[in-house]
Amino acid sequence: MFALLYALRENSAWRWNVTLDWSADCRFWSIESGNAQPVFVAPRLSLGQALWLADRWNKEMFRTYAGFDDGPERVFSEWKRLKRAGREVIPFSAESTEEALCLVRQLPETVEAFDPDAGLVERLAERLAGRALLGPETERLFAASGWTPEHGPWTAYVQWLVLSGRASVVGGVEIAAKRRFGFGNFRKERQWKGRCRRCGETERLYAAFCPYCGSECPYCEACLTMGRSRFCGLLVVGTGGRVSCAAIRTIEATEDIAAKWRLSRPQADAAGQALAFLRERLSAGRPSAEQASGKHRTGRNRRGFLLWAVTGAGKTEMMFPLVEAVLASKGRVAVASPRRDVVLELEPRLRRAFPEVRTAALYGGSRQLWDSAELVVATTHQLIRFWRAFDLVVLDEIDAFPFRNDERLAYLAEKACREDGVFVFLTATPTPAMVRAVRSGRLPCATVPVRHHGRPLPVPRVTRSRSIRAAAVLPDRVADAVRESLARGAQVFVFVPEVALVERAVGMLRAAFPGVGVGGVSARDAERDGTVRAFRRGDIRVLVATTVLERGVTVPKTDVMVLDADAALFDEAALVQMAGRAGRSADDADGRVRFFVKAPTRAVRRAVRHIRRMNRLAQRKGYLRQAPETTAKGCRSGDDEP
Amino acid sequence: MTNRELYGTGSRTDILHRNVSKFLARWFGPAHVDCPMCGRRCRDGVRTGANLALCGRCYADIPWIERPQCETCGRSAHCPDCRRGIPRRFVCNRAAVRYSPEMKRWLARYKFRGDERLAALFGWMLKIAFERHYAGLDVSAVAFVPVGAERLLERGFDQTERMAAWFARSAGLPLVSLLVRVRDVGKQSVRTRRERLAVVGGRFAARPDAVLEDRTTSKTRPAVLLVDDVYTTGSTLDECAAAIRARWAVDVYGLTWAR
Repeated sequence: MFALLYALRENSAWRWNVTLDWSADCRFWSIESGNAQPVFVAPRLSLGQALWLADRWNKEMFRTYAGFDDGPERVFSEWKRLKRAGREVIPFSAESTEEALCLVRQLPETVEAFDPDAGLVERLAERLAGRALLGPETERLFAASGWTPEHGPWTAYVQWLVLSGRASVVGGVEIAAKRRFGFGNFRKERQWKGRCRRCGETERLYAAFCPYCGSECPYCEACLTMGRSRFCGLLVVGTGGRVSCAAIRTIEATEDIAAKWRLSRPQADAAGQALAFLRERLSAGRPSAEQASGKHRTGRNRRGFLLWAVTGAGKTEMMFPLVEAVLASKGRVAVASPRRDVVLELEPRLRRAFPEVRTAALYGGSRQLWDSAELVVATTHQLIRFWRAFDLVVLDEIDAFPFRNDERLAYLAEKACREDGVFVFLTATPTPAMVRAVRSGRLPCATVPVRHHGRPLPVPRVTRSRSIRAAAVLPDRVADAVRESLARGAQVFVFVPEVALVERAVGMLRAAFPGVGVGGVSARDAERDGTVRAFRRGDIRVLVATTVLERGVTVPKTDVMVLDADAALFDEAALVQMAGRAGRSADDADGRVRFFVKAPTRAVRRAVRHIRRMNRLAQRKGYLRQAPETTAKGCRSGDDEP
Repeated sequence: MTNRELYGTGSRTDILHRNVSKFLARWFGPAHVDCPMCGRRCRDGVRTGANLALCGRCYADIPWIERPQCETCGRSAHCPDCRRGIPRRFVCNRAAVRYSPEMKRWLARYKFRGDERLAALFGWMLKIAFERHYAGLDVSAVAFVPVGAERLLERGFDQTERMAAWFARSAGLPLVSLLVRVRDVGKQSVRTRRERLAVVGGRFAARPDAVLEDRTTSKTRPAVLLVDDVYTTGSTLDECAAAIRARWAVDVYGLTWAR
């Protein structure tokens, strides 16, 4: 995007501004009436270049330089000085730097008058608040809020909002010189380091020739599916903020919460703890924005709360009281889930529970993308379009794909949440860093160690067996286990570590069990949904899958077998999630889980220990309706019981 | 306690270990690149230049045209279009791949979504097609079908120029910008066949300042290779060939990425 860089006299100094549309500035500063005499930088600059220069010149002595008559030379000497310093990496084309950059008093083209529609401006400001949008996205948002080309260029409206302090304009990617040490110089690497302001990516940035900069400038490949964020590309941030939500006052007893939302006692206990956290953090005495932004993070200023609920505990139900509390005090809430089907399923439920607030379901292809709503249910990717918008951000299954082990999620969540807002993380398998934070008291946490039916989690039996990678036929112990499960009338989930092994395992199982429906799915499979549906119906009795199905699929009576559970790809979280597919319904709470290994790895042992710890915790708290299994046959390796 | 710390994986020793092993792998380990199409990390990828390597699976997705059936347009199947005998002002066209749904996805990612990095991949594919179909042809320059000025600003790059540049560089041929788009009539890719054929003539002209040097030594007319992304009806290529031949006495050969 092109931008214009100009300076206005401000007492004795010059104030540098960047504009997308001069007509808006013209009107805003009432240039016609002769109050101000602007100076322009003559060749067109890209937005990134203009913003950088403005920032620079506003800070440096150039700003206080009063006489502008020898202006151009001044610009050049300044520019050369910066280049000599060798620190700057901002892309400028050869023409736009040394030779041609100059200051002019008059624009070459005449400017059409811009007359903003006051009502429309208000509407746009309101819609844009709490958003961070690329140029084309902004245009679409404006079009969805009643702007039409007859009103004038959309860039002029953006500029008007910027001038009136309700939006700000930045480049999509920020870059800075790379600090280089010693032998790093041997490698031919890029000389700059950058960061996508939209998604927080720092690695996958590539420089390519850009017609606006007249030189190479970087774009972000990580968020390319959501539009291209570029150094000179426009990112409009709606800063016309709303005041913080009112303090949460409601104090409900656990029984009331349980009755109102039909929660089990363990669920209600945990929800009550989370509510207490919200009350404390969203109270009147909440820390200022600056304190919360991380500089003065002390004990009281924690923003996150972990709801650690075992698989099948009913995590979703627990978020309802929290959402209600924040909405009741005029706050805004986002519920982000990595999976689109969860969004589609959850949004109607939330809409029915809170009919009085506006709700929007956001996912790729959603028709509500540009609606403003108090309650947003979105796929995690969609948080990218928000900026300090929510008082409460509920992050479901934070450790799942697509952001497993990904710092970008942290960036997105931080960006979408208000500075004084809070996060609630929902998961069955928190990351080790989270567990550490909980243990050391940095992250408050409530645990739901039991499923809604009050029976203990099935503890995996670890069995030694040959790897199917090497075997020609199904190993005997696996065959026995599958036969046992089929005999008791259960369906069987068989997990394998790699896509390539799905076919193999399906072949082996078909050979071993002729006449039994065996199906296989993997991430690359186009038939995936059909196969999963057939499994749900019961047409397929044995389903072979990779970790793509480790979450989400719930079939009443299932047993779980993990083949080659000692594979490096299966970590503790994946194993716990897979084990969590068994025994989810009240009718068949004692589903069986088997891990087949050549030699148990640390992850296998930790997964078993994790499940047992949860069962023990449930028993200690008196949540269990039946004592957990005390002896586990064949579980020598996983046995850490005192 | 920031969220960033919470999402970081593993214990502190894990992180240290990861950083150290990342460093060691980078300096001493086998080179591996992430496949630009599926994002998987691969060691045995097919190198395509500009530090891009396709993984074996994505490479297998490419429907190469190894033996064209139609001598005119380079299509790998029977071609009723060229059978009709529409006079063409280019000598012939050759394409690297069939325009399969998978290739459509690739092109969309490059052209419409703006993953410019892929230009190197496309240029590499053009080079393979060039070596396969035009072996022995003495080319004096590589030209390309230009994008309109307005579309260039909208898209941020000229997709054909980028891939032609990569191709020309790797094939050791000079890239020249011979054409300009005179009349912008909108996107060709949203038109039907009938509409495309109806919009004829006057879309391209030779650049006034362009210089075409004949670097070949043969006595025949010099050959210019004209690069485009997709050959559909051939009208674009034909028009460009006409515009070039109106100014220079050359033979124009088409080289497109897909047919």
